[in-house]
Amino acid sequence: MGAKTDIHFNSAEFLTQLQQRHTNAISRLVQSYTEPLFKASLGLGFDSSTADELVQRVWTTFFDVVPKFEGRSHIRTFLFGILYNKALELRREEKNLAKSDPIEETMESRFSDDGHWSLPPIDPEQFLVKSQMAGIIKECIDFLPLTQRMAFCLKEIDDKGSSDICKILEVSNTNLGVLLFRARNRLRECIEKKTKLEN
Amino acid sequence: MLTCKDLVREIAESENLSFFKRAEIRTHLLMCKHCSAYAKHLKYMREGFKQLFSNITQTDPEQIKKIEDQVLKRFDKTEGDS
Repeated sequence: MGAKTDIHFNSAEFLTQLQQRHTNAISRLVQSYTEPLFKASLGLGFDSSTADELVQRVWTTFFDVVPKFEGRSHIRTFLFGILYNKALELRREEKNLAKSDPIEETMESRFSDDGHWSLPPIDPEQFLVKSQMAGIIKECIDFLPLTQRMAFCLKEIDDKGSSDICKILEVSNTNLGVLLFRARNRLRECIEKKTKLEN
Repeated sequence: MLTCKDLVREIAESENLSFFKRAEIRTHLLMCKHCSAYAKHLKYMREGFKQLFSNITQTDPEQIKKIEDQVLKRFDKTEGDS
């Protein structure tokens, strides 16, 4: 999906066709976004058939709500927002930002009162051996709560701007920061632990 | 003065850092071995995750086509009903 299609999908004309559920407009949209949605579902850790089911649900919901879609955000942002909600539904997870997360305590214990490291991170040379990188990250990322994982994926992969990610996840900019802090540190702690075990 | 703990918070949240803040972070990283190790970990994670993501999201065009067809068929059906 290139930048050109994106601009086109945002035109007022296309929007009107969508709201009126023109078959032509709908099928162009389906053909442009089914693959990105499917890939994102796989990236969130759903297996192929669950990802299939998830994408179907996203489109079904989209068809229901499209007459009311006003184009305030980009159609892609809107679709990914639906994906996020359907994924939560599938995982039956709490969507609100949990008040506490054990990673916050872990991070506290890594620093002394003056803010210096008391338990410093390990030597980067040992942190991730390139050949095992993808495997270790896969094991560790599966431990992340869905919301953290989605925040991390969108940030690292899609080059989506923060304001887009906030809209998709329905969180404030501050909360997105908290999600990323927790996701990255959970991942880092997990990888560090596994690397130590293997050395 | 930015402490290590502050720095870790800043770079892990990485939201809209000002030019001044980024300069402050860069200076700290030059002087601090532990924080520079931490920053490298995040960088390796980012690279590793991109690699992982492209590994697990390799899709078969036919499979995508099949899903698209199912979606459109369902859409046509709802159109027929309404």
